[in-house]
Amino acid sequence: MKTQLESIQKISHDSILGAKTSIDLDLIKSKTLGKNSDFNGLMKLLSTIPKEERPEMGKLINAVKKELEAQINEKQKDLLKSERESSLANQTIDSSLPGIEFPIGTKHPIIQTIERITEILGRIGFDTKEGTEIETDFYNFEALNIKEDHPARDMHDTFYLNTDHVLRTHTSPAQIHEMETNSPPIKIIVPGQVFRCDSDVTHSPVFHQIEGLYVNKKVSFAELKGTLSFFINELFGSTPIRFRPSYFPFTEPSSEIDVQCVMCQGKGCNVCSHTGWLEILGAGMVNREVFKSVGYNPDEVQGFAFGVGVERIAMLMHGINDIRLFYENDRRFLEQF
Amino acid sequence: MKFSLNWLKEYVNISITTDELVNKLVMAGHEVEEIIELGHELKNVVTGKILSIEKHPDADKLVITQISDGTTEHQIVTGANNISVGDIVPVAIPGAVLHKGFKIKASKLRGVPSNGMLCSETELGLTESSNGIWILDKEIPVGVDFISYASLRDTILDVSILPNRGDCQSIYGLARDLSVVLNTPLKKLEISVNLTEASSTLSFSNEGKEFCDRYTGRIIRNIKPTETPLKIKRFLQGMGVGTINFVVDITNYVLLETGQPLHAFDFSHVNGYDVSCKQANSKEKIKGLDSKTYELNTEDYVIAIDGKAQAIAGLIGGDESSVKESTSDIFLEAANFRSAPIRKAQQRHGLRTESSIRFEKGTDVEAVERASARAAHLYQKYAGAVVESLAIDYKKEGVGSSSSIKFSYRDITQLIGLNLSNQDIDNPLRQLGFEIENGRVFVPSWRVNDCVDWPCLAEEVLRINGFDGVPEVLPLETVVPSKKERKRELRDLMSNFMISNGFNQVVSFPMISPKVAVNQDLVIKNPISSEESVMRADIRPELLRIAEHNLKRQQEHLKLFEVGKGFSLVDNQPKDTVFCEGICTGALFGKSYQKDVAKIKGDDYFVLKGYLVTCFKHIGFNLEFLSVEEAKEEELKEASLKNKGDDSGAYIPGKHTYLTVNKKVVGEFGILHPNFLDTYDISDQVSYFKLNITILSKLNVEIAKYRPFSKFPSTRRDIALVIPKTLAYDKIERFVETNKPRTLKKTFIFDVFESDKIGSDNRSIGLAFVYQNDKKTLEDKDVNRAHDKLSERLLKEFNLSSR
Repeated sequence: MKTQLESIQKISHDSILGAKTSIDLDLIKSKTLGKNSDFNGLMKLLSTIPKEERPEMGKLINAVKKELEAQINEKQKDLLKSERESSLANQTIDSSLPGIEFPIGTKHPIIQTIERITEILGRIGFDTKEGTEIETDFYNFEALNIKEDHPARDMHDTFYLNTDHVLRTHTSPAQIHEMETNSPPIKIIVPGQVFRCDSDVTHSPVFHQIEGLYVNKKVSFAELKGTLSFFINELFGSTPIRFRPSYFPFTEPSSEIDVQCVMCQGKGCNVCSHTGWLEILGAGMVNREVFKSVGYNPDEVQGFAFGVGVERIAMLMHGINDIRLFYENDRRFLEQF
Repeated sequence: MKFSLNWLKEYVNISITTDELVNKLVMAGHEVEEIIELGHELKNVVTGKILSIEKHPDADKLVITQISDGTTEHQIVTGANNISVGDIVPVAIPGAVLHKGFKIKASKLRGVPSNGMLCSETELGLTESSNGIWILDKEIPVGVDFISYASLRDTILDVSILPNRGDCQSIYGLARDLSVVLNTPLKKLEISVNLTEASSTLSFSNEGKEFCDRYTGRIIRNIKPTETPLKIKRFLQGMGVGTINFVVDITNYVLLETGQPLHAFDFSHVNGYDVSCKQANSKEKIKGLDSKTYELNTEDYVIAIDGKAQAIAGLIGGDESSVKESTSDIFLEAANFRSAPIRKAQQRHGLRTESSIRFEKGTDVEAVERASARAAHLYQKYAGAVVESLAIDYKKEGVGSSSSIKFSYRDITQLIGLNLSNQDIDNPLRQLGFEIENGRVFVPSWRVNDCVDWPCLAEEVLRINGFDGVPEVLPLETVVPSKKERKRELRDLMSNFMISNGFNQVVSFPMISPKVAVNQDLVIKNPISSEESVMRADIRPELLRIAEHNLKRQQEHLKLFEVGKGFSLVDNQPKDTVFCEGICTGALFGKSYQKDVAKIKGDDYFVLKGYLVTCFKHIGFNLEFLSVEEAKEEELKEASLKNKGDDSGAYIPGKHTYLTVNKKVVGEFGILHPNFLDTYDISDQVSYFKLNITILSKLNVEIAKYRPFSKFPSTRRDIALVIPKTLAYDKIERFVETNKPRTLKKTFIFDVFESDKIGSDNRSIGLAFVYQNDKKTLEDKDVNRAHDKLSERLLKEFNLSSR
């Protein structure tokens, strides 16, 4: 019996090792260890040998069975691995073909610029608020110390509506609304669309501004300068800037702020009209008349205000030369930002 | 406004380069918009006397001249026919350079040597065209460098004068400011007149108490016929004012120089002695100097002589009393009119004159008499005129009294934020003409319109001392920002979702064409173009216009969105609503070589519906739908959506659905009707959505609460329903939702199809139900019992069969 066992072990061992495919091996497995296998026959014969030999023989048979099973498993793993490899080798692709283009949209450059600016000013505590595009004469002009016959009204080519309203010519009316509804301290910025009847390469009848307002008990021009210098530095990096005197009815003193032309580094080019400087901001200390018009006592509060032209900054940052591109919304334009 | 640098130099010493000067001006608030160099290329032009003129042997139209420059004789061949022997003319000698770089060399004309050229005003760059050679005054010496003699070289600065700086709208005014900026003395206007007593008594009555503050008039007689001096001509031309005749040129010259408008009436045509500033009669007509007839109304003020209007005050003189070449006696007016009515008159008549633009920004009351005297001086100096003393010297009561501002050094220092000594403040103010006395500042007469409150003193100190010294300080006060406005938060969430899902954000104008506007509640009275004249109710017209623009340029497979405002009138008050709207055309993934990918449509109803559900989930809302039939007009109105009638035809019937959250209508979407799209010339299919962010911002999003999920396996059971096409799926969905057993965790559709086999009026919907128990593994028999019961009720409820 022992000889028989050895013989079966030998034959099975050889056929397992000789198996070529996993299917072959399955057949060999059932042939070797299945119901009708010689091995199983040997198991049945166990009852015929003397009782005292049985335990030892049984042990032996079991050991061989385990060994064969292990061999089969081992072989099976090897075969499956190599079969998988060859099947994968047949499924080749040209890995250099492009991937599927998942549609990803773009944020409009105007909106990106507004977000950039509100983020910077947000860091020094300016809260972003919303304004309204349709305003009354009072909010757009009167309350901002632009009386009916003020020559500054010439600077505002105003669109008038069929009602008694105007399309706001600047975001400054938001100052009035804010001061009417809140008391100092106030530290806000208000981005939004503004309107002027004026249109060419650098002027659009619709454009965007960001208004800034800081009102407190004591506020100085030095704080205005500090705020705007911080803002411009964060936006453009450390570019030279200059403050120069200007005039706005709603601020006094007033100033316009230029950055050195980013196109020519101040050497003079078409973009900066050969001055080397680009105007990007108007600002000043809130005029005492404005405080009076919102019911504040001008002897008790002070403040500064500023207005940023968003398109101008977006054009400078992205090298855009025609303001109308922003509103044409050609996808070939939009996709670049 | 244009300024001649040569002229400015008459009053202030400028020893720096033009670039340095421009920088100084800009930093003093006088922005220089353009620098125009006049005659800088000119070279070698001298004055010469014509000694002889002979015929050219070989050319009928040419003559041979001999010209003396005092030392040398030049033979010059010319085609000019306005010259005579003895004339003094500008001569370009060989080596000369004329306007536009034209070089003069010795040459031969038809065989005759010609050494130079006789010049016209055009060749010297002074005028656009001229009639022949420039014949100069006989008094002009021969052989002088004509370029400097006639001030042909000049630099013109185009300066943008700020609205509050009317005082700088003149050579003298700008020179006055510049003298402070450059810290050099200001030269005085030359005024010396031999006055003769007024020969006639003139009366003046002022009916325009809110218009005319000061009026002076004098008679100037025996003005000899005179050629305007070359230099004066040059200065006028450089500043863009044409020369007319000596008398008028002088009034213009003094106007440009002092900023005080003057008007000369021909005294021989004014047969009267009662001068008045009065309201015009309604529909009164007057013919102006420009030969145009102006129709006046009672808001206009005229200067009348013996009751007859001879000028529109401050705006333009009348033709009848205008100065002619022959005029020798004039009535010279110098007056101060208020800016506001002048502004209105300018608008009314569509007329802006050198006078009116100065009155508009406010002129100096004290300059009136000075300007009148300055002009008189020039008439006397150049034309030997007899100048009479003022025949009219009217000043309204209170006018011209000094104006003062109370101030404190501490306030100014604090406002600027810079430690300044009293002297740092006093010095610039004193230089600018302010007088300081016991905490008060007396404002110079030319700044009274501008300086009314103490911060303007800080402005002047900053302007003159410069901004550089001011420290940079960040405002340290913390103002706690309010919670991010919900509208902005929603806008940001939606935008981010849209962008992540392939939508390009656009920004458009809120004004649209009446052709595409649903209503015309808000119309612009003065649009640039009617294409942009109505305030839009929503963004759809602009999105479609942008789609059309792109589609026509081979930009297909569009996914566009905008967050913007729509406008409406509610109770006669404008109201704005924030919308997020978008459109899709073409394929979802655009062009793709991967066929399965390319097949997915982007303009499909269900693609958009899926996007919207996902978008709302992203925001935290559960989006539900409302059919057009079920939607009520009040709900639509509340959501600022168009009522069904107004928008009928915009969508393909059956492919238009309203969106709701918590039973509130918040938007709509659908497939736009091809007939509707014809308006925009779009032939692609377009899906469109509109969400009302204003409404959504008022809805609460509850903070999510954790719900435990079952640890036990789930079991799925399917049912294939044959349902009539008229039965909408959402009815079934709702029925299941309300009648489901507790163990039904999820329902989904695994198949929808139509086939003749189930009848053309029917379709089949395969529904999968997923059952699961929270506490144990479900046994088959329990699942079956629950599923059979639900199926049975469902079939019975809608009278359906299953397959």
